[in-house]
Amino acid sequence: MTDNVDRMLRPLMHTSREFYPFVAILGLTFAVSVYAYQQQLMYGLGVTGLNDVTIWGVYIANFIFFIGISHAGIAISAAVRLLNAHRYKPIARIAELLTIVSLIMAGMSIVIDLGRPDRAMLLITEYASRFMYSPLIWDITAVATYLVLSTTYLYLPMRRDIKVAMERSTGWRASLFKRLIPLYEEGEEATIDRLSFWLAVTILPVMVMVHTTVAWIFSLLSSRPLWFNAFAGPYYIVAAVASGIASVMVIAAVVRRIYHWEDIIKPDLFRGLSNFTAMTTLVYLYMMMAEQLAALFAGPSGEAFVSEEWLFGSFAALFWVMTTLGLVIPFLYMLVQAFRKDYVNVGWTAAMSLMLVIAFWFKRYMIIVPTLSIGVQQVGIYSPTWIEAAILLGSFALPLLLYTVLTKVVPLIELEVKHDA
Amino acid sequence: MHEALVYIALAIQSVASALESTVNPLGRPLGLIVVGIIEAPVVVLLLAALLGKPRSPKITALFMGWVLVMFGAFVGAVFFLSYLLGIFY
Repeated sequence: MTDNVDRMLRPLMHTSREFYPFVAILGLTFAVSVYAYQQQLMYGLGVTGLNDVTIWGVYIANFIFFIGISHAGIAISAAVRLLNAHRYKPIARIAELLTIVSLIMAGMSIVIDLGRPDRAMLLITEYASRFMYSPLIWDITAVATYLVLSTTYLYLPMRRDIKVAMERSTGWRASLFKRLIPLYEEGEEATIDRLSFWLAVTILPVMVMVHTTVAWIFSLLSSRPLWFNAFAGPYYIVAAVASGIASVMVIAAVVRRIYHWEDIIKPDLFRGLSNFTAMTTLVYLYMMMAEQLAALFAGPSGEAFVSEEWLFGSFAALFWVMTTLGLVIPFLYMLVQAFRKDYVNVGWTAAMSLMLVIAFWFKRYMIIVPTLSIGVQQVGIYSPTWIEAAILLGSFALPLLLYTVLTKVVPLIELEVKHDA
Repeated sequence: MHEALVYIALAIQSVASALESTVNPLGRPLGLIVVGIIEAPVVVLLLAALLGKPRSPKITALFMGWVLVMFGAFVGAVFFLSYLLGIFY
């Protein structure tokens, strides 16, 4: 078991040669996006494909996407604590870390989308006068609460693992780890376990409200076709859970391979997550069908028109490729796998999960762009510029960079310290 | 011609819908309810942290301190970004 602890702490203690070029590539990509954003700041949103009609584009798609991804961490981690699903414990922290990185990126996506980001502070200074009326303010409230609680949920139980890491390291690492656990006292674990339990209980409803309020930003705009929708909250939450858990599977498969944790992150665990993802994807496909059928069959003309464009018009190619390749095929693969007794292919499951994640990004794009561009009668007027493409690329490089760097500070797997003693 | 008529009809519908739909026409305190629902679990958490057992004043203080610092970091980050990006205007 001690050997296992060393293996789990290996990312903190050793850095491979491949780490530096990987970080350099991500850093370079991010630097290019910073240059693109600087251009956007200098010359305004006119350098993007956005305009007076299509006021939201890839940045807001990114915002919804990252909020969605952030659901996975807490869903998995809370399940471990509240439902005693201990077999998922090895990936709980991997998922929690993903939550925090995604939430940071979601917040940044909003700031990037602002034409005058220097006015972002108005969200706070004008809070009292706006929270009665603005779904955006409700969302900021939910996201801020979720971020604070998630970081707390990550940090408190991690203290004991950092303590172990400190005891097993020397030099600057030991000093760094010591600084990360101020006020540490022997036997604090019992109190922290209790707090973590209540944190898990608390975070779940907040998590639901985060994506519900995101959905309300759109669904309370009654004049926008396909947005005004009573079941938008559950619809968004299902997408969030499916894409979030799929993301966790991708990351878990990668770290499992890199650190040779095949015996710690067992295939069985992927099987459970894959089954759950298949189920949520099916529910999502069902909801999507219900939405489109209602709009096409008896929707007001605007709804029917946008729906027609989704399914058979200018967005049809994107819609059908996204639905078939990104949703149906991964769902079928996961379904077939679920029916095969004791069988799971981690590589293929991760690949299918990646396809799901990509599809869900495009689905968020589809929510925004057709409604805005067609809703005011100018089909196809939005097409992202290189500035948006560069910023978009950077917005994927940055979370990867953050995550990679954090693996050097955060023990990725919760240690079974008590059993080791 | 048919397409043009559809576009015009949609434009009128869009404007009419925007004009007709008032936000919260019955004046219910919906914002208060939503924010209340979001923050209610936090109140439960704080009570559990303060009153539950086993309890350690040091860890409770650390927990409260961490929550406050994180909240401050969020608000601080919004202000910092606003000032930083304000350089460009």
